This record gives sequence, structure tokens and C-alpha cells, in this order.
Amino acid sequence: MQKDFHFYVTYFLATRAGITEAPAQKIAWACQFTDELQDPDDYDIQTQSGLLGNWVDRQIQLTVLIAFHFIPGDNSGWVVEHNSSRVRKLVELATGNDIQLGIALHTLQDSFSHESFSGWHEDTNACFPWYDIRGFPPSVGHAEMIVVPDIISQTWTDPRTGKVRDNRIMALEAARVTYSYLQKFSNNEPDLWGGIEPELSKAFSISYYDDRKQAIINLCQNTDIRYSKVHENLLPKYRDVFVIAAKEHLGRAMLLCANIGSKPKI
Amino acid sequence: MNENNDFTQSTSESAKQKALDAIDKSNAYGIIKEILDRHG
Repeated sequence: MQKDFHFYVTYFLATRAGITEAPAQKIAWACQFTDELQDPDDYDIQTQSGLLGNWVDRQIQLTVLIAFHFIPGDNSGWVVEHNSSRVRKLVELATGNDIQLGIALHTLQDSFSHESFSGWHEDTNACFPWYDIRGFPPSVGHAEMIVVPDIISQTWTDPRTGKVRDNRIMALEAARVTYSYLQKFSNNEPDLWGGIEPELSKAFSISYYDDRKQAIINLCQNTDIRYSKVHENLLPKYRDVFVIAAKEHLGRAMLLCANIGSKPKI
Repeated sequence: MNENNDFTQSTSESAKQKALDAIDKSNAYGIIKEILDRHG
């Protein structure tokens, strides 16, 4: 997923779930910041790797990509399955802490967009043959498909299976599950999903990113919400809290992956 | 919502120590090494 979902949709859903402004912003900020903490020298941990070159590093694959973006599913080794028992466990363990919940929701949301890919460098992620220029990136995660799986308005054909994947449907389901957890977090406010779904469905069908983001903002009660402002406000206050929460998430993710045994092919 | 859900804001050093304690407690380093040994 991208910022339109990780931050703006999460914030929108949090407020609709009855969570007040400050914690809603914290949850959504942590959810998005998980994609931005890329420099371990600055933070003593990294939750994303922006340099494709680092993606071939086994440790980056395990402690960054798998732990935060490609949590394995229940049935296919290290391959991601949406809303798997492992990712649900991560969210449940994080409930009670805004920042931890935001990080865990990021991993949950990515379990939808990254479904059928794994965080390792392995054949299962190879979308194109060796002689095709599109197969140039390493077969790690969805690198060969670039950002296509993460664009919530996109419909695309998975070259590995020939099947059409409609990201709008995937994103709506990710939103529904995110909302159900936020609702639980806010002590089970009335279920408003029936009204929320058509609003989000309309926004998710907008192809141009900026227009889609604005449509999501327009659904919020606070239409002044902007990630840049929230980030500027929260980073100095919660940087250390985020680092602790990320390390706890990493520890839990590794525990949940400890019993997976199949060996990648590359 | 409880505004006190998060850890209280702390200094960088104590936060780092807490983070190290948290990750040590979970034995994440041991598990990471074990998985990497298996899949390296």
C-alpha cells in the first residue's frame, strides 16, 4: 500500500471507529512511518529499505521486509496471505498501544497488497523471464512488479498466474479488516462499515493519486489533515516510542516466523 | 480512548535501553540468527 491508504485511510477509519483526534493521528502516523524509517544509523532499527540493492541482503529480507511488510501466511511457507493468523496475532498483541497498533496495521494492510509474494529472494517472486528487462530487479517481494501491487486503484494481471488482480477490491477488504480492529480498539463503537464502504469504494476507483488522496481527505471530518504536518508534530515527540514499538514488533514477528522451515530456492 | 496508552516520552538513552531490553526479552536476535543460518 501507499500513503493514501497507510495514513489517510487509516486516519479516516480510526475517526469513524470513534477514536479521538490525537490517537487517531498517532495510529495513522505510525502506520505510514513504517514505510519511511530507512536509516538504521539514525534510529538503531529500520522498518523499510528504500535501496533496492539492499534487498538482496538476507538480513534485510528477514528483519525489514518480512517482519514489517511480508509476514508469511498460514499455508505456503514464507508466502504472504492476506489477514493470516500470524498478521492478526501481531495486531492483537499491539492493541492497547497507539504506535504499536499503527505499525501492526501497516503489516496487516500489506498482507493484502503483497499477497502471494514473499520477503525472501526466491523464484516464487519472479514475474518475468531472465531475458525480459522487466525482470531486472531482484526477485524479492514484488520488486519486479515495481509499485503496481500497492496502487489501490490499479487492476493488473499477475504474470505468474495470468490472473487479474483488482486492487480496489483488495483495498476495500483491507479497509474493512482495519476498521474492525480499530472499532475493537475503541471499545466497539457502533459498526458503520455499511456506510463507509461505498464512500471508500468511490475514492479507490480514482486513478490519479493526488485526486484519490483528496477524495479520501474529503471523507474525513478534519479536512485539514495532512501527513506532512502530523509527521512534523509527532516525530520529535514519539521518535523513541516508535523505535521501541518497532523493536517489539520485530521480536514478535520473528517469534511468529520461527517455526517456518521451507528453504527458498535461490 | 486512553491517551496514556503509549510509553511516556523518554530520553533517547533510556528509550534505547528499553528497546534493547524488549528485543532481548523476546530472544529475537537468537531467532533471527537461527532463521538466517537455516536460509542463508
